[in-house]
Amino acid sequence: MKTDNLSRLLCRAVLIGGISAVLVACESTSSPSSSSAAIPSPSSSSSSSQSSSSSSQSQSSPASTSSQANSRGSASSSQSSPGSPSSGASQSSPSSNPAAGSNQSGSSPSLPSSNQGQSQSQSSASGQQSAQNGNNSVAGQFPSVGEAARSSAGGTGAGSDAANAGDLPGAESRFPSGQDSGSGGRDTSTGDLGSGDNAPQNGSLGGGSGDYSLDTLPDGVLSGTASAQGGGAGAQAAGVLTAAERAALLDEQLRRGYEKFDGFILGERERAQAESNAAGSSSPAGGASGAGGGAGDGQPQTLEQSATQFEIPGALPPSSSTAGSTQSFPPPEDIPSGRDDDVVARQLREAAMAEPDPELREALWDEYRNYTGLSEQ
Amino acid sequence: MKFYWKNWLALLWVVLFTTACATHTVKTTTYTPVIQDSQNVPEDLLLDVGVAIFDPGIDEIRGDEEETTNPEIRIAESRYAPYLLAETLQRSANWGIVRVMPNDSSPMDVYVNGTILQSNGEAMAIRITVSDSTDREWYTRAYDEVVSQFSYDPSERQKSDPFQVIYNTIANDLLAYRQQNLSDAEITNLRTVSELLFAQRFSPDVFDNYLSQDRRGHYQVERLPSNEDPVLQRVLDIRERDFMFVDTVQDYYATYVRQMRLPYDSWRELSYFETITLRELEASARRRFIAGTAVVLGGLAAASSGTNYATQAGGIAGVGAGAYLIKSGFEKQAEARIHMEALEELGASLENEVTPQVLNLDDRSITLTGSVEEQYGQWREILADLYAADVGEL
Repeated sequence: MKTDNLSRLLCRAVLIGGISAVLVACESTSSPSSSSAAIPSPSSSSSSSQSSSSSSQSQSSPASTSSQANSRGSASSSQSSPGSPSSGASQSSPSSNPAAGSNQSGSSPSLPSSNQGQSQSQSSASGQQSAQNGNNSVAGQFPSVGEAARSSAGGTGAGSDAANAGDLPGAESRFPSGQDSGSGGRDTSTGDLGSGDNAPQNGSLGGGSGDYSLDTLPDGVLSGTASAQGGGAGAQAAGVLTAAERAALLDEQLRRGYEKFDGFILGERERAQAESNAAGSSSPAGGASGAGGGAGDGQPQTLEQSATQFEIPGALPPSSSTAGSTQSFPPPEDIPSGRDDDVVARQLREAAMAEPDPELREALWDEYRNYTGLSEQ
Repeated sequence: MKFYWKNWLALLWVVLFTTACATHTVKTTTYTPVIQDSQNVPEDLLLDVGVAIFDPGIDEIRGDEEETTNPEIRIAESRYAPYLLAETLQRSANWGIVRVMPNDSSPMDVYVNGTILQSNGEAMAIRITVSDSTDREWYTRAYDEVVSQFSYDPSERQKSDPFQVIYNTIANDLLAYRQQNLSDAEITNLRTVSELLFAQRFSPDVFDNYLSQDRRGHYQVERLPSNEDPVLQRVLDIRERDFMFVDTVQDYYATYVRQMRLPYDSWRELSYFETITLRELEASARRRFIAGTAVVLGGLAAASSGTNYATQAGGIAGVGAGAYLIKSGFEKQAEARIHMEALEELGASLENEVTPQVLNLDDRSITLTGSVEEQYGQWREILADLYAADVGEL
């Protein structure tokens, strides 16, 4: 009897212990954790704003703290339903599921999903967290199933993955930097930003936002709706650029590049044409020695060098396409190839070939003939 | 007795036959002008042509030309000839922009590639391959031209290159192909493809799906971007700059051609005479060797099998005559060697003149290309960011 009682007590104790463990585990996964910052790092934040219409899944086991986050999808709903995975929704399952998603490394427990647009987060009972995203292994803790789902719900449709939860230092997005901003827009994770659970991250973003230069802008933060949507908008409002403002900045950068390039090319063309004219009027020996001796001088400048010399704001490119668009009229039969023309003769020739008025054109050719001595022959 | 006279007659025929085995070269004195299409071709139906730097064809130099062909001059010619071809095509007014391309990274509507098969003062042979932006090959043809001394007349040199006819013929063939094989819609398609290829180069995120390749690897347009597409407008702005870059390289080539022309023409003129003299001397030596050998053999036969004194004496005289012919053949061969050395000296002299120019041209082109590509890389990044920002706004 005693043995029976003991065994019953033991079974009850084990049962109670198990239930307690399950409850504790549930508690640990559903409670927000300050360590499981839903705010991604600047690079990873971009991954939370997605434009893809792919589904997003987030699975987490109630008795685990390990999570695997992959966010690529968007517009997914979030469900916390242990043991009841459903596609297109964030799922909480009590078990780790192998992920077949292309955005997950094979070594991690993964979800049976091959959809690239899925955002997945898994929590296992092991209490360890691992988030693996393609190239970068990112450890991330999701504070809760709901938050994990929300943070992963805004995966990019551009095929880029990121770990949204990055409580570990150095948590990175797998995006190349150039693509990070591309995931801007439908970042539903902004709601999490304003939830208060992520205050440290919001604070850090807000604090630094006013001093961002173009090159140091946190890509994801500035990506479209990141600052405009959700409760996080208020937290990010001060000093954060919108996508339009960022586009304007980039356009300005592009324009400056144009100006620098135009100045560089125009300067180089002037020098090249001057050399070409000089070569045309020089003796063969002189031309050859000039080419050899002047090789160093004739080297094109670098863009940086030219930028100091040629700053032509708003310079219009006299491009060859423009030149090509101006109709060119062939020279008359009696005009030779003009390879020995000097500068004046070349200008006359070019003017005549570009002149649409037949009378003026013929007058220019007459002038060319007179100048080159063709009329005397 | 009659039999031996028949032998002598046969021997005489052999000698005459071998002596008559001289090569005859057909030289062109007629001038083929460039055919001009109607001037009323709409601007948007003018195809832009990119002429690549020619292959010097050093690997294809024939064994008998190795001694007289200078590889450095071939390399110099491989940058000289494309410019003349581009100039000819541009002057024909049948095409849009015609440029010598420093590399193949700037998409053009039509590409012309060439290989120099032969080039001396007397003859030039070029193999030309033409393809378009869809990667479809139009044709591959070989062109050769043997010029006369008239081409080096100062008045003719003033007008055009001695081998201008070869460039005119290439230009005419190109025009004929376009007229016979390309409809207006196909021309428009080629222009669209080259534009999209350029757009892909700078903004692959956006434009990768606009083109596809069929099983033969030819590009085809899948869809068209909106004219108001801001990314496209930015790419077109950059393409304007790319044209500027290519134009700048044209100026380099213009300088190069101007610097090279006079020494090169002088070399070609001297080479023309030397080449002709060399060929004649070599042919003469060859004939003398053959005739001398035949006469010696006939003389030996006559001397050995002669039944009377006259025949034997005739045979001995024939052997002597044959030996003299062979000796003169050696003399001609030595004379030919002198002319060959003269050709080599001429080539070395021109090489000394043009090699620094070639190095200078290549250096400048590479340096400029490097600077431009660096800027292009930055623009690509900005365009990617702009695209990302645009997507973010959606």
